[in-house]
Amino acid sequence: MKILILQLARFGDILQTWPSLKGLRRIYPKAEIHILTRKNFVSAIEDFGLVNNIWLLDSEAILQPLLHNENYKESILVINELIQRLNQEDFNIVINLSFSSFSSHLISKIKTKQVRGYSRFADGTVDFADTTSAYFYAQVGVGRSNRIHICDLFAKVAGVELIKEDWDFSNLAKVKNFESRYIVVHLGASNSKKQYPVDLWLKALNKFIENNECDIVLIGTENEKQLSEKIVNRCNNKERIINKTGATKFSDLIELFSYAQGFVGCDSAPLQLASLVNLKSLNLSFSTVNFWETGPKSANSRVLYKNTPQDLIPETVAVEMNHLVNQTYSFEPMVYVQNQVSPYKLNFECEETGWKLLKLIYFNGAAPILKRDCIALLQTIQKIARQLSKTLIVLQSNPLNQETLVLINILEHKILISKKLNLVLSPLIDWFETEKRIIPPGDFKNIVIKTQKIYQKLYALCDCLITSSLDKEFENGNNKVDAS
Amino acid sequence: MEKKQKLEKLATTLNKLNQLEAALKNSKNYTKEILDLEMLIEFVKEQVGENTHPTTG
Repeated sequence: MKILILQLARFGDILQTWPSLKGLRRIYPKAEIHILTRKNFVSAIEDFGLVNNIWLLDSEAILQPLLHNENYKESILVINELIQRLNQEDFNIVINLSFSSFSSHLISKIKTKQVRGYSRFADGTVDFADTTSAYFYAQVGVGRSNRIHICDLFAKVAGVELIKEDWDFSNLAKVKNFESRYIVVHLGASNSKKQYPVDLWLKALNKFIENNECDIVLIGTENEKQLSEKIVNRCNNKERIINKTGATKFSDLIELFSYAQGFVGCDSAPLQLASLVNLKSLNLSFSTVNFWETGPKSANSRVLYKNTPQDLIPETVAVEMNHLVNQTYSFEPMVYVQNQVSPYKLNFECEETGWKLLKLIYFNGAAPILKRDCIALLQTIQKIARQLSKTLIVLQSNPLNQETLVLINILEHKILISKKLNLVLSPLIDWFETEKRIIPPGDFKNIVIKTQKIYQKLYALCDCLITSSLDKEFENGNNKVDAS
Repeated sequence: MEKKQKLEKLATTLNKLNQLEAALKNSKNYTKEILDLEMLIEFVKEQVGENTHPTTG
């Protein structure tokens, strides 16, 4: 058995693939597991013995012909040569955990018996080979309502139900290097919008040092050296800060994390690495990132969430760092992590409806109670769904009727633009759009049957949502009458 | 080549690739050549930041 994983995203995503790799190893103990990553990010997987073979996508080699003489055929040749070598391996299963358009093209060219994740049909249209991938496409990311962690979604695409054992990487820990008690801090983030400002970090770290005996070890990439130097140079107590920024590989970080009292940082690869070695973390998170998708998973971790970095005052960060080290709890609104396999327990009321709507659509959950404006819009969508269903029957009897085709396009467009009228219904509209998109090419009859099923499910979902909300409204009305 | 210069050059190349793809699509049916070109276009889009991962930005 040979399995190939495509993970062409960056460090954080590669690290978040680790539990799935371990799960696959558990399910297929004798399998040969290969991974394809981008050359620039291979350090997040090499040297850890998690896979049997690593394949590299060399972005520079692909881009060079384009940059030098715009020779696109030469660039395509570089990619096709890699595909040719992969095809010689004769993989039984190929799993795409990259969720990108490019990766879907790449995977569709790899010969295999089974594909999971984004792929392409023979005509080039996108193919979500499994329901989790369709869910990912429609519902995951900032501004969307998904509440499932990326690690769990990766595992589902890979066909793995993660267990505690899949999160155990304690065998990678090495010998102790530091005698002092220390907490690891990463000042940077995967992009500047997710970062806590350096001046606020300085105040927070000064305050922490004043009140705690723990030293601070700064980590980060070569590009973040300046950031750390600013802190070291302006800190009130320089000897309490050990600056290792730009001087650590992932294997060094594992060693450093293994004996640390905790980790503090924003959304970044080191935060995700801390989850893998079960180091309790304090995650500073803002509205630019969904921490419930990429946040800490290690036991006793906590997430301090504010709308913007400026809303998070440094004194609060220092106090929470203290609580993290001492394993105590504060009155600050905070999300606590139980363990690596338990989902987050969130308490953001404003987000709740979207998530409930997702649970209804994908997991047969109970319908959320919606407000009047939402119900009115749903009634319109339901009418359009019924009209679409009827129009499709007309089309079936005369497939070449252009007028009917135009009418279907107009009606579907009306549904899609209703998302702009009420954002609460976005998960429903995104589901509809994705389901339509993933109908495979084929004969007209099959396409009609699949399309009809989508219209009917949309109608039924609208019905369920409208009925539940109106019933609740009626119940509340009766209660008010009783009370008066 | 500096990163900024490289990105500018790639953005220009991407425009040309898109034009080429449109021309190919007009002249013939879906072929391996068009699919290969689409794959490369998606790759270049990722490099210039047009296509990004939904969670990592």
